[in-house]
Amino acid sequence: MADHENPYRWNNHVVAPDVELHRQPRLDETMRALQRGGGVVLLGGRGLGKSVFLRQLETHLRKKPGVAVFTLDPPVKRSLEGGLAELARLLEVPMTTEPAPPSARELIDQFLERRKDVQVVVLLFDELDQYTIQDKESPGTLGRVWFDHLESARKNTGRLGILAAGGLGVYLLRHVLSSSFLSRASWEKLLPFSEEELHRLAEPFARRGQPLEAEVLEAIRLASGGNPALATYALENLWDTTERTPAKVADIYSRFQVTHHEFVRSALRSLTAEELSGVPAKVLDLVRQAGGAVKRGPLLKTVQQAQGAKLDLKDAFDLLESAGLIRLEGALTDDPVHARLVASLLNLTLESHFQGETETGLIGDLEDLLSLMHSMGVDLLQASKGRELLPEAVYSAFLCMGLRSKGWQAEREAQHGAGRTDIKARRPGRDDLGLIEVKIWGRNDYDGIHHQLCSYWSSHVRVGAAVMLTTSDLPNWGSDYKATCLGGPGLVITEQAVCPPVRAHFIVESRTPDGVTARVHHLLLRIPKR
Amino acid sequence: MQFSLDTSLDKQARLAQESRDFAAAVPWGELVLKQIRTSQFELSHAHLLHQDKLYRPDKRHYWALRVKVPQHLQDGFGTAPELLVVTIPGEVQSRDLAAAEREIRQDPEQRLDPDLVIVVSDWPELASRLELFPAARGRCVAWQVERGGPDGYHLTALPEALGAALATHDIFNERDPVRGRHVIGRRDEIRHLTQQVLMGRSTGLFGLRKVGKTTLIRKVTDELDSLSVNTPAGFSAPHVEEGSPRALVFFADAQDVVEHSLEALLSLLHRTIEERLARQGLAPSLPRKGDLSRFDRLLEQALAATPLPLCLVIDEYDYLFEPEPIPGLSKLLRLLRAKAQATRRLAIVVAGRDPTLLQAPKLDGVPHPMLGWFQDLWIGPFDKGSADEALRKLGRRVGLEVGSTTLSTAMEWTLGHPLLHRQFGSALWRILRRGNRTADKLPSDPHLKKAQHVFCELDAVRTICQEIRALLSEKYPESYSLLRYLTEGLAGDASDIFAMHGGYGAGPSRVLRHFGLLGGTEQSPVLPGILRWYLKSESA
Repeated sequence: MADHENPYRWNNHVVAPDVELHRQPRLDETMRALQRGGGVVLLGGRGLGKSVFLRQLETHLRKKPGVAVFTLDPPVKRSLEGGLAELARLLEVPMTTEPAPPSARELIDQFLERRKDVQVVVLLFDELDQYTIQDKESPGTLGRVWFDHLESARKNTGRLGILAAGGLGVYLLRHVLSSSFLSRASWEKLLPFSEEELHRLAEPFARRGQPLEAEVLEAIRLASGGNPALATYALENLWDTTERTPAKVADIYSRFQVTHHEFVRSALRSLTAEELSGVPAKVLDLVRQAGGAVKRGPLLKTVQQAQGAKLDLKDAFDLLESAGLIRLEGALTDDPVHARLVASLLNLTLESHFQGETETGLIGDLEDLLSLMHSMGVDLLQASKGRELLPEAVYSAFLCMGLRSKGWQAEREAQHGAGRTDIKARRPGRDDLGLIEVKIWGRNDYDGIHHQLCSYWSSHVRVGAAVMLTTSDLPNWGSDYKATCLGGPGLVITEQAVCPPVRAHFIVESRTPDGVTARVHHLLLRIPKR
Repeated sequence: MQFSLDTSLDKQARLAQESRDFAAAVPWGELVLKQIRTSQFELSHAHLLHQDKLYRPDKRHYWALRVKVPQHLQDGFGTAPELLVVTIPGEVQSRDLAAAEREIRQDPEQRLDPDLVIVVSDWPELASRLELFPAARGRCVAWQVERGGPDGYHLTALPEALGAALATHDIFNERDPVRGRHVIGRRDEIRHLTQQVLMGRSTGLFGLRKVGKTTLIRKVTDELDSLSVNTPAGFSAPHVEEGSPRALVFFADAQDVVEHSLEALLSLLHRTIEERLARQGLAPSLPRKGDLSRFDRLLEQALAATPLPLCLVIDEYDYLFEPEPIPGLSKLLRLLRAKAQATRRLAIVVAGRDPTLLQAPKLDGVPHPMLGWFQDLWIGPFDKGSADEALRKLGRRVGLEVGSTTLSTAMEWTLGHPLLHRQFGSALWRILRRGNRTADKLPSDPHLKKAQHVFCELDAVRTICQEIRALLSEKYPESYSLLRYLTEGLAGDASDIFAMHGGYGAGPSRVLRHFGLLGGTEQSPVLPGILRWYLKSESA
């Protein structure tokens, strides 16, 4: 590949070798299980890299003498016979149908008889969901029949390894007798990329002498949640542009939300799937509300109330983790369970408080987003530098993306400068503007936040919002804030009822230099370091 | 050729000559001998592995060495006094491993360890290569010859190779049915089923999934008929003693049926029988049509061709009945019953979850042909002796000294469920052995608390608990209710709880006992600790 050719293809599994990450320990372990004639379930949500992982697995296994590896697609004819026909085609063995088609075991035996050099056959199945969710009347039927049949061949020959990759589909394979395939399979879970893996993914920028700034990578991390496809999407779009800023990252992902909303829908499909009685969505909601420590009682009640779902708490958490939506810390048997939302555009809620009035709509939506940020906790901090807050620009980019997901036309200023606020937001078709400024307590010119907002005021502005962030536990933060940031003559301060996790909420009215009354909401949020 | 006792030859001289021949024939032979010596092993015999050029045209490079194991390693790993070391330059083939198997089987003194073979080879990624062979998994240890070093080759010390194998392979985490010598316990059941088959009586084996039904059947059928399963070059059926069959066994798995139709089922059974007869040199000439009358004639021909009892095994028989019974199934079952009754040489063995599907009054609208025909054999958990034996035996293999406190704790947690019990061992292995390449013997008792914690978190353990919960709550709600009451200790003492569910001898309690989920007495019932823990942990 030429030095400057864009090496990223977010929606294409054929990635340039120099940007492809290998999850080596997991690959090794999976290969070993398959070579031993084992069954493996690879659990991973949309964009988590299942297909890339399978391709890497296939490449590695192909190099092993004595192993024959095949990747199977869902059969066109959605029946066991259709599956067998596809298997026969790949193995290049005859498929007679009279008096009955050969079983998978016979097909494997025939193949091994012909290929004396092969000791173990490995079958890889991507998109397990395709075997289950398309059966409208009886979800999971084809998948159950097909994989139970294959399991018999695996169990009885010892020379067949089977890997099935999927998300929601894995759970739809279950029935009263469970699934004989799932029952003996070992489970591997694909999780989002770590910070270190994201850095490795961005290495091609450094190789061409244009490394990405740390704050750009942080913005990608916060928006993608480490989802490999989403992270690659941003890098692909940054490659050919000279503007590589957190604001640009927010723009890229906002565009993604519009142009690829089907990806987001599909990634969240398991949350609301009827077959699972919406249990994952309910559990996610509890995690979101709890802000890091979720009581076990309500979690268990939620799972138990959905009688038909056949999910237990671990399943629900596995599904959410492998969808890249939550991160579990500690054990599920702890009470409270320590889990929090992953900072990701997938976790940005879509409902808006806007009902025709800019001020209440914007402030309500901001409170929602701040609540989300609180739930995301440590994800919003620098992992490598003592859990400190990131640059302000990263948070304003994140809020900008959140507002856009709630239907606001939010503009994020790329460069700070006189007369520029962080975010300008308006509803489509309306002139009313809201201004938002994000500062970090104790950093830079934080104490001038109110006056700064007032200085940006214009005739279309209806409301301002000053968001102040900290990680410190400050017992008298509200009064300290008033003393430090809201001093000076002519300010009318009203203290609002606090809507946790926002620590304090003031509405401050003052006259701008142009003589207009500015109405600014000051929202104080502490991001927990856990 | 096999190892023979030295009686007349000068033993030292013979061994010296064998060593010289070996060193001359194998490029890294001298290095192997040196490492054996320095590791305190002692070479006792050496000869060619393959006696026939048919197997290996260059057979002079392939050797079987017999080494005496130092006492501390015998104690640590519970090995036999001697180990077989086979040297294979280049790619290991199944024929090499089959030859190794023959060496062990034909050992006149039976001093060689049957479950541990050292394979030394310069083939890259030898350990990975060995994993491909079912019979080598968990049994063959790779002793990898690397390029380099002053002699052109490098070889680690033998105890290190053993230690590396222990540190990477979890011998406990076996989830598939095991065979031959790896079967532990169940002596009464094995004896009983063997008798049943030889007397032409039909038996139904019932129990939870993964409780060992297939293992038990295979143990019996392997011993009765080593050719009952078609395996290449005798290598997928490890540890099965070859010999004249005492019965002809036809082994079918109902999950292999490709359509839920009588034709497809008959086709599978026809093929199964035909293949086994062919291995016996008997070749019935009937076109394989899914037709009941042809199947009848096939059985007739099989019975006529051999004086041996026939045994038809249908594993996972539940699949014939679910979601609905295969249309026309009653005709096949009637035929089988009639044939068995008339000849007393056809034993039907079915294995599944429970006998209810065979006890329904009617099938296909006619009286169920199997009513009262099968003798039920419930396969429950291991008894304490077998459970202890399993942990001790496997533990020794990986250098774990499984103490008495560990044994009783494991029993409390699993109540002897074989796969759960192995998983308890797996928890110990993960704590003490994974990544630990030393060949020291490690005591388990001091690590019990951590082992319990790890055990509860294992996927395989959770899956079993989840399956039990799903099965009971869907199919046996009364038994599930009883289990929940006993778990939570609701409604006073145990007798009251049983009374609420019809009494200790009633159906709900009986189901739990059959499945091995309820032990002890009416006054002091015992549940597997892990199930109690799981249900509690899932309770709001």
